[in-house]
This record gives sequence, structure tokens and C-alpha cells, in this order.
Amino acid sequence: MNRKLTPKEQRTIRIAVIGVAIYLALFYGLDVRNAFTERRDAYEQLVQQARDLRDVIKPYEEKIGTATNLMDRFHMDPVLLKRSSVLAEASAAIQHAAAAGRVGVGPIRETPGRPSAKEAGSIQFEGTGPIVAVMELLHNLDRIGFPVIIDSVQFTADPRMPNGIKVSMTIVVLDFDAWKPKPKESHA
Amino acid sequence: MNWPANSQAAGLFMDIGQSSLHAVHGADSFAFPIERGENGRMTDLCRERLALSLRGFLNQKGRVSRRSAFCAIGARGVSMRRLSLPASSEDELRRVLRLQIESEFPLAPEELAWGSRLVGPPKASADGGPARQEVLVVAVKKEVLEEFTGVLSSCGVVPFFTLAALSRAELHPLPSGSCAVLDIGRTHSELTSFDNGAPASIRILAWGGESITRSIQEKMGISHDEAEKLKLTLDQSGTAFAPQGSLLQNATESALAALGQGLKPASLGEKLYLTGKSARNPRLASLLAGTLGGAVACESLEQASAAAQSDVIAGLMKSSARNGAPSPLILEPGGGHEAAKLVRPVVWKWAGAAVLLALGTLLFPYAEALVLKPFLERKLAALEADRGRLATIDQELDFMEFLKQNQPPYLETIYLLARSAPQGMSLESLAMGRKQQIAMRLKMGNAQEVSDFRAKLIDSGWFANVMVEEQAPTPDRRVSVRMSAELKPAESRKPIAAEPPGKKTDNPRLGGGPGFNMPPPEPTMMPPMPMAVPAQATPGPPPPGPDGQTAPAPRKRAPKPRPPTPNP
Repeated sequence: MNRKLTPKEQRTIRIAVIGVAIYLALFYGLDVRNAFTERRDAYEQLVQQARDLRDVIKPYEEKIGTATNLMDRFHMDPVLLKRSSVLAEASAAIQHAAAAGRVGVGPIRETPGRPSAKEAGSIQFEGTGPIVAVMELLHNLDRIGFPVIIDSVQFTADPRMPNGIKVSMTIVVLDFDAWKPKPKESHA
Repeated sequence: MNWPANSQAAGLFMDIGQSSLHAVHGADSFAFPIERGENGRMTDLCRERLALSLRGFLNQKGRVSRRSAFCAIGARGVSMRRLSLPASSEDELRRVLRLQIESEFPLAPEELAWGSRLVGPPKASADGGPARQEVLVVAVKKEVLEEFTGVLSSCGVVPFFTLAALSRAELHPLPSGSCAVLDIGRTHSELTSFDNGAPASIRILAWGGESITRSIQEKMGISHDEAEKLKLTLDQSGTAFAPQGSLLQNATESALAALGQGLKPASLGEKLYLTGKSARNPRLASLLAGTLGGAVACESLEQASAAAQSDVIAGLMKSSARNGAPSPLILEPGGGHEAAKLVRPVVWKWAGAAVLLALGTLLFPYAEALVLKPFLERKLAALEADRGRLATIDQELDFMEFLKQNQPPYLETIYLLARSAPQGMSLESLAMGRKQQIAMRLKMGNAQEVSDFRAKLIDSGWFANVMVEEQAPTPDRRVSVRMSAELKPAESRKPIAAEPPGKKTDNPRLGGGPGFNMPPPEPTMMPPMPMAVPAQATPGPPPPGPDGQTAPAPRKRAPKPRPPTPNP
């Protein structure tokens, strides 16, 4: 039967609804509160994780600044260097720098590097030229865009060229991959 | 149902007629002509204009909050009945009344706006049955009120409707016994019959002041406007019919005769009261009594005709001033059930707001966790994914620092050797290594110069273990020297003060003695040392760069992209 409820019936229903609501609040309120509390605890753990991560990352702001300055100084990004070709490219760049600076390129010998010394190889370079040109070459070698270190250098007089000297350098080319952290060995 | 408690404060009263709406708010009044369509409803344009005008009228004194309005409607479309019901409780009586309305009225109660009022106390039944209670019921189609409710609601007004005839009765208390009130309008009149002071029935008569005007126009052969003016002069107390007295009287009697045909003296009771503007004619009552054959006494209630406001609004004001007393019957959709629904939500709304506030208070400590946790989780996941890049940054930094720290200071060493060399010294060979060892072969003027040279190298703060491995005289009276030294660690070296270009050193150039057995060095070379380290090429240590290192030369290779910066 679809009849309209009288005001008394409506009042009864309202009171019943309120009673049921109070019952639910009393018997399930604690569970709901516990669920919310658990959720809040999980959130606080996340917040702590975020703080820890921030502490880890914060020193990297300075590290990135230093690394960027060094990369600007040496004109290179080590990530882009390829182990297989870095020695060849460095040798070409050295010869190009020497030729551009009026240094006559003499014998060049390349030898494989020692992995223990984190070297990709070494280059024995001999050249002759005016003193100024040789000094400029020496000055510019760390700006050729490759990780080279002059291991030794020797100057001697060049009797064939007035005001000229002979230079003999041993140049080490570093291997960036050797700086990669070694993967942890599994003990399966 | 009584008037709202704030009725007096609201002070907004409306008389809604067939062709006009009058409103009074405090000392201000407002009139608006109503245009109706063929179906009797207000036209859309009229409804819009009415809402606009009414809004302007109500906001004259500044914006006000929602208010109540007490509106009286005419009798057109209204049905009035006196029902006799078994006396019972209020709820029961309402239920029975609803059933009775369902059977007595042509429309269902839901389609009606109706109100009821008890008439007198319950009376015992003549046959010994249960007591009976007389109830006055007034009903009208719900749509009649809804069109005004819509307009008024849009103006922020909550209307309460009653019947204009009942409102007029409030203004003019009627004697006990049977009587009737004839409210003469312009084109129609409302005849309400009363029994013992309570309304019993209501009728609409198609007769009004316009009927008198037309009768005058016909009898005297004048224009409608002139006839209207003549009629208005009759309304003024003391004005005689002269000079067209007999004609005017005949015309009025003729018009009243038409009215008398529609009135049944038996239904009028003992007396007929006249209201409305036309009732201001002092002779109208006596003429009407004559028309009715003297069976019913007629009396005009328009003594207060000088008042600007209508009897209806005056009656509304009077009834609203009686706080707590039974007020005129209120017409409500569904007989008040829907109105009750309108009132109750206000209470429930506050209760709901209180519950929501309480829930909000309880949930507030958890709100941050509930709302922000998903965002924080996403951000942390993204940061954790980027964490692997930190190792790359570490690797790059270690590599670049190794490269920087292992760059031997060859140029600085050559510069210091040149500065320390005595005049005439000739450097035959120079060898340097990354392990900071230096070996050289020299030619000097004498042994003293060898000692001075060695002392200067030591004083420079860069060299340690400076040894003269071999010193031997040469046939050209000079000294051939083989020396070795070691560079101090970087942290122990003295900083090199850069000399401005062109400054003369303590050791002017050797007297043309060639270094490396070669011609004297070019003027631009490093000064005294015959090995001829170029002075301009290596005037001193390169200026410090941004990182405290030497400044970079012009780039020969495009800079590489920088490492990604983690952004926590």
C-alpha cells in the first residue's frame, strides 16, 4: 500500500534513524577511528621518508655545482665519452690542437692503458715547434674535451730549428667507465 | 495556521486582484496592473515586469533579507464550503477533512491550495451521536497561487495567501446572525454570506461599478468618460443628483436592478453590507434595498473610504497585528502539508549543518593524511625512481675531481724556473713527470750562480730536495750543471704572485747567451731563461676560474649537457 506517512510516523522514523546512527557510532566508531589513525600513521611514515630523501639529496646541490664547473673548465661531459673510441678521439684532438698551434707533429705511439690505473690508454707524442707554440699546446691540452693527463714531459733543444724546441710527452687518457660503481656480487 | 511570528515586523501586505496588484510596505505603496492571457494566467511579460518592479520597490531602502508577505486574493476560482465533521483531535480532524475534501471538491487535495478553520465549538448531535465540528474550507487551484509564489520568491519574498473577502471581514466585524457582504469591484463583485459572523459561502457576480457607468452613459447619452465623472461625483457624500438628478437616479436604479436579479434575498440574511469604491455613493445602499424590495437592509461600510489603502490591506494589517490570535485562513498547497515541509527543512538544515560540523571537527586531524597521502606517494615514487641518477652524479664528480687533481703544474713550474734563472743561464734539457720529479741540464756562468739559482728555487716554496747532481767546468769557462728537484705537495706550495706583463725582473736577460744552443729568445718569451719559456704565453699562473681553478681558454668544444638536477 502506497500511502503517505502521518507526521507521527515520520517522527517515529526520524527518531529511529537517529537511534540507529547513535548505535552505529558507538559500535563502529572506534573501528573507523582506528582505520583513520592507521592511515595517518602511514602518512607520517611517508613524510619521514620524504624528509630522509631530502637530506640525501640536499648535498647533491653542491656536488652538481662543482661537477658543472669542472665540466665547463675541461669542456667535456664524461657521460658522453665512449670507452671504445675515447683514445682515438683524444689522439685526433691532440694532433689537431698541435697542428692548429704550429707545432710539428712527430712520431705518435699509442699503448693500451692499465685497467688498474683506470686508464683507457696512453699516447706518446713528440713534436717540434717554436717555444710559444709548444707552451700553448701544453696549456690547451686540458681543454680539448677529453680526459687527458700529461704523465711526463721533456723539452730539449732542437738544433734544426732556431728558437725551437722538441717536446716529448706521455699523455694518459682516462677511462670514465672505470669510475662506475661495481655491481654487488650476488651470493646466490 | 497562524500568521508568522514576525508578521508585524515584515510589514509587507498585498492585495492581488484580477487586474491589479497593490502592495504596502511600511509607509510605501506600490501598484501594478496585471495583464492576463486567455487562460486567466499572467502573461510572461507581465510576470517579468512584476518581478522587476517589485524587486525595485522592495529594495528601495537597501537590500533586505528574505521576508514574509501577506497576500489576499480575490474570489475568482475560489470555492468555499462549510463542512460538518465528527469532533476529534487535530490530526484526526485534518485527516478526515482531507478525505472530505476529496469527496466534496472536484479536484484532488494535492491539486488544491486550501485552508480550513474551525467554526465555533463542537456541537452535540441532535440524534445523540458523536459531537460534530463545523469547519470552514476555502480552496483554490494550486496553480492560481503558484504563479504569484514564483514571482514573489524571485524577489526574496515568502507569501502567505488568504482570501480577500475574509480579510475585509476582519476590518468590519459583523454582527451575529446571518448577513452578507457585497464587495463591488469595477467589473465584478464578490458576495460573501456570513452565518453567525463566520463565512458560509462566496460568489462572483458579473456586476460592478462599470455597470453603473454604462447605465449612466446609455440613459444620458454621454460618453463613457463623462459618465464615469458623473458617477464619481455621486460617490462624494452630500452631492445631489441635480441637475440631471432624475436621469442619474434612473440609471443607477436600472443598474442595481440588474444586480438585484442575481441576488436572492433569502440567501442574504438580515443585512447586506456594501464595500468597494462604488459603495461610497451614500444613496447606493438605500437604492439597492429598494431594488431588493425592502426584504434586506443594506448598509455601506465605506466610512473609512478616505483611507488611501484598500479595505483588504487594512484588514490584513489588522489581523497581522493580533499576535497569537486566530488569524485569517491561510491557503496553502495541499492544505499545509507542503508548507510544513518548507518549514521543517530549515530546522533539519541546521541540524544537518551541526552534524557536518561535528564530523568535520572529528575528521580534521586526519584530513591532511586523507587528502595529501596519494600526492605524497606519487611524488616519493618519482623521487625514488630518480635516485639512481645520484650515483651518476657521484661518478661524474669523482672523475672530474680526479682529473683536476692529477693535472701536473708544468706551466707554473716552468714559470718559477724562468723567474729564478740567473742571467746567461742556458737550459739544455728539462724533464718533468706527473710524480712531481724534475730533472734538468743547465749551463751557468759560475758556481755562485748555481748556488743562487738553487736558493731561489727553494725560496719559491714549490721545490723540495733541490740537488745538484753534477757540476763541472766547461772549456768555455762556464759551468755545466745537472740538477734534480721534487715539487712539494699542492697544499704546501706558496701561492704564486702574478707579475704584470712587461715588468722587468731582477734578472735582466742574459747577455744574449742562447739557451738550448739557440739564438736569443724572442722578446715575447719568458725573460731570462735561455730555454726561452715564452713570457707572454706563460706570464704566471693562469687567473683563477669560477671554481678557484685556472680560467678556461676559449672553448674548442661545445659544452656538454649538464647532469640532471634532482628536485626533491
